[in-house]
Amino acid sequence: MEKIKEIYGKIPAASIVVPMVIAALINSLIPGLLNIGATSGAIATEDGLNTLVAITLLCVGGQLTVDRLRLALGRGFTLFLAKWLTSLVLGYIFFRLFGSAGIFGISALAFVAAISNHNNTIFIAMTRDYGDEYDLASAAITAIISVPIFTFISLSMLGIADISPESIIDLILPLAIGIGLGNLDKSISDFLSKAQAYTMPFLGFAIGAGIDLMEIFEGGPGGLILAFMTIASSFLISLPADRLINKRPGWAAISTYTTAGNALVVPSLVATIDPTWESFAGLAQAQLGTAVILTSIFIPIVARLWNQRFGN
Amino acid sequence: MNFFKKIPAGNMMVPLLVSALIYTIFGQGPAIGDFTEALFTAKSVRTLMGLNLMAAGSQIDFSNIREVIKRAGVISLARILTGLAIVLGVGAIFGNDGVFGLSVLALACGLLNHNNSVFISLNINYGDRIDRALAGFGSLITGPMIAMVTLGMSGLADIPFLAMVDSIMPVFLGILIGHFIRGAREVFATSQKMIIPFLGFAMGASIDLRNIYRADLSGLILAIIVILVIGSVTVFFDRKINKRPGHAGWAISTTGANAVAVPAMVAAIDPVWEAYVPLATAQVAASVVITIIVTPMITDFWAKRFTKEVEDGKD
Repeated sequence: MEKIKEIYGKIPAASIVVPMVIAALINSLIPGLLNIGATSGAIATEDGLNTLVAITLLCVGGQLTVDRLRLALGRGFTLFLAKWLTSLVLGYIFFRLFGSAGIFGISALAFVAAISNHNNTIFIAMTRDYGDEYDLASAAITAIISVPIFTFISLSMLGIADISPESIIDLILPLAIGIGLGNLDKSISDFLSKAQAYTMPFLGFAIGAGIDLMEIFEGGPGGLILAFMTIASSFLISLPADRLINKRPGWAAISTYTTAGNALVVPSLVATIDPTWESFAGLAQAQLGTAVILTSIFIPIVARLWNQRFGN
Repeated sequence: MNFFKKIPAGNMMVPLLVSALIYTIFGQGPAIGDFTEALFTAKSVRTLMGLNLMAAGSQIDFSNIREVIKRAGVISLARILTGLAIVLGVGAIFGNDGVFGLSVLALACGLLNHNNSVFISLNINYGDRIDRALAGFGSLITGPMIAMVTLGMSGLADIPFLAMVDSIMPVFLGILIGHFIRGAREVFATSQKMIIPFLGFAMGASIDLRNIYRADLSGLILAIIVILVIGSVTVFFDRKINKRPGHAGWAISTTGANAVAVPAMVAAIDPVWEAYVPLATAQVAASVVITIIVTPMITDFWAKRFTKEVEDGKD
């Protein structure tokens, strides 16, 4: 992981964003090039994406060891619950006020997908800069919100999408097996955490291969607003919870409000499970793409500014 | 995880055997939805292999591409030509019925392709940077094509060029990424190692260990031909021409998992082979399982015994 960080240097979330942009560029310039047959399709289409998301789920589970849980019990869970509560409360309000189609062209699906998960790599990077060992251990718990499980559960709880219990079990099972493996032996847990970091570029690539950059431009203004809404959401519940319950400065809470690259798989997945969302999926994905890039740039900046101003 | 290191190619073999045992006893894992299917079935082999090939491609650059092509070329040619010589020789001497209970159909399907996933995993474990890239070209000689051309199913005109471009596409992408993105080469080298256990597990998810004895001894004989005859010739050329330790020559001496389907494919085109299909399929299936288990052991032994010798000689 150190190596990845060192190589991509200053670009936030580069290990997923850079391959994503490259694949999206190829896909937009020469559509179909990445899917000329079974082998190339296997790394660039849905099949590839499913495999990589499944591996990511397993790896994330592998980091949830009992030791880390004990260490991070308070802080990590507060951050996690606050984040989830935020997506439920704001998702509910948004859905109630604006309905499925939403506002500014941002659908309820896009909104919930943007605020209900985060990029754990950025969180880890922030804890390295500002935190202590407890914060770093929290990353094992906040890792669960880096995969779209709670996005699905939230969408289902809010009644936004009709998601079957099977599709949630489908996401939880790989995670559960990861938890089992990670607790079996520390070296397995370490391996899985490393494996997640080193397969992330491929995940980014597979996500990017499904992106049409023209759509991103079309989704631009909506994505901009979505990114702003996501960043603003962090101040509602998470920040007060981090300060009041955790008695911490609050940068960690803000750091959980990047939109994860993983969020980009949500619209098409939801559309397969619940066809009523089909017409929104393309635009939602485009807006999320913009939000992923913008939040990964601005969240670290906002967190840093907050820390400088209110850190002590 | 230390005991992984004690088992030959443990990072691939342990997950593979665990998953093969599960598949043998319980059958296909639970495919509740897309993600569990990706994790528990052999469906993800192609994806993981594609990623591995992309990573392999990133190891290739202008300074080493000639050496990569040379090594891959020598190994592939030795591997395929030896197989061809056996198939054609047996056909000429014994006719379609073949010898030792192995029909020409079984030989063609069992000898004329290899398991590229095993090849790449073993090269990553035991080879240098150039070895890690070999499987990029190994993918050109897997698949049913060579067996079908040999059995006269199709002429050279029928070789699916688009499919070949497809199979080399990840390598090509990898070369571009390795060339243009600074550091991608180092990251991908580690990624290859990270992929191996998952690839091993995915491969195991379609392996029925009972296949080993389903064709009685004849399946074992097929596997022995693959490993001992083809393997030793390939190792010989790898050492003589490539001046390498030879472990890559062993690593390519397997029967590809997809070969099991080829006898039926052949008979669908030419009914002459119809009667041979059931036995040939069982024999090929036995060879798939036996070679996947034995070849890594030999490669491990060989690499530990001879790699140092060659590397020392270089310095």
